Amino acid sequence: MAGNGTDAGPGSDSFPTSSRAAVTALFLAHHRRLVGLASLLVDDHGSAEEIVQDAFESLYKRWNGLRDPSTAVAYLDRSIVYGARSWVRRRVTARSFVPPEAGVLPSAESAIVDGRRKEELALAIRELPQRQREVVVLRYYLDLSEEQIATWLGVSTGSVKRHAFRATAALQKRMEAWA
Amino acid sequence: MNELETAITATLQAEAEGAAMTTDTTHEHEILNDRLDDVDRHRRRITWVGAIAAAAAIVLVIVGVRTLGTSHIPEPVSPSPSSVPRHVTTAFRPTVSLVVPAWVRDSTSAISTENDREAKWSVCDGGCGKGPSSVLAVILVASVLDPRSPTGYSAANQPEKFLASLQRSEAAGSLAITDRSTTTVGGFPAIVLTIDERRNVSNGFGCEIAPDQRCYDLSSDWDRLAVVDYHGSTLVLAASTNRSATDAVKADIAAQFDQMLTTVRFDPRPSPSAS
Repeated sequence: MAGNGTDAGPGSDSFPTSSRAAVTALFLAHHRRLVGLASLLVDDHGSAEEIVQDAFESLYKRWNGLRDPSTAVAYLDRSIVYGARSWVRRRVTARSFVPPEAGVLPSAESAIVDGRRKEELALAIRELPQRQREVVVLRYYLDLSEEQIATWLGVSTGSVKRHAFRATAALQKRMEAWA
Repeated sequence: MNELETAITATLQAEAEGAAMTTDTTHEHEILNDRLDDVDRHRRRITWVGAIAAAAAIVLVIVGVRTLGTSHIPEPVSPSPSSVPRHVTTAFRPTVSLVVPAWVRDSTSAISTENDREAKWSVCDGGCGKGPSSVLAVILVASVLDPRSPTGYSAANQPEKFLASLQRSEAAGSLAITDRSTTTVGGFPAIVLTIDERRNVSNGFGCEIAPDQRCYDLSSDWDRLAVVDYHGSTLVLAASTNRSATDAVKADIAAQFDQMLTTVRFDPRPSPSAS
């Protein structure tokens, strides 16, 4: 399971004190993971990288305002989710004519799902309505609880449950049709 | 966790790992360094402007005290306009300076992003979708084509065209336009209006005029817009929130957005008559 924002971060003893050094250290430690997270929420790789850049720039601007520097990683995670939403919600798009990025490589860890089925499932997740897609990513990739997801997305826990139910029902149906 | 959930988790991990493996962290780090350099330059500029303003204020106070005599206690000096923090875009073109509304400026969780075509602030503290804190404030250049014509690249870019496209969307029932008025923003003619997006329409807000254009959807938002005729180009400033926000929240957002418009300056500030 991917990190959920509690990784070693600026709270560690050896963490650099200047904001520039701190943000750089965080970038080197978390950049790839965050691009992975962003790529689950938007359709093209370039947008995912730009959202991650935006998140780190925003963190740098607000570094001195962080009450607790150890929350920086969680701040980045949330920035990615909000950045992706803002990208998708009206500002994204291009969705109808920019094909999803090719070249996403399968992982050996995912042997539980055969190749074609996994591709179909990945496509089905990408085609979910944005809010359902966010709930699926936060639940099954970041391993957040329903309460945490509700807080992140600013909705009720009941709403999270409904989105999760609809999403898994749609994915189940898609998988059954594929089979 | 059932079989489907296990499959979802595995698929998401594989997708994320695949995307992570295709990114070049070294190259991206160089890009980030450039962006942070821009932030530092911007901060230094603000510091110098602040220092000069503070020095000027001190000189004025000293002169005032000497003029009034040492036995007179001067009235409190009201904050100078320069004490209000202005945001100056660094990557966005044209360069815009403005006073960001307090609910964004004072938020500890505001996330700002900027590139050459868009500068925006997202505020979600207290939870996106709840009250004024849920506001998604966006300032962007929308060099807009007709809606849903993403491949129709054209040099034509009149603000009237953008407004006409909104009106067509209104006629089609996709949105409603209210509170339309004429004003100036940064010395340029502008139309300010409110739109209530009633349908999700892919590319319904139009597409940028650029070789690598992005398109904008209509997506159940409520927006206060200023469509600025910037030398014949369409420059859109917007404050957006969810349609479900209360009328009081929307009114508050509109008021603060309209106030923000009065602070907008373009730098270098071109003469509207030059267009």
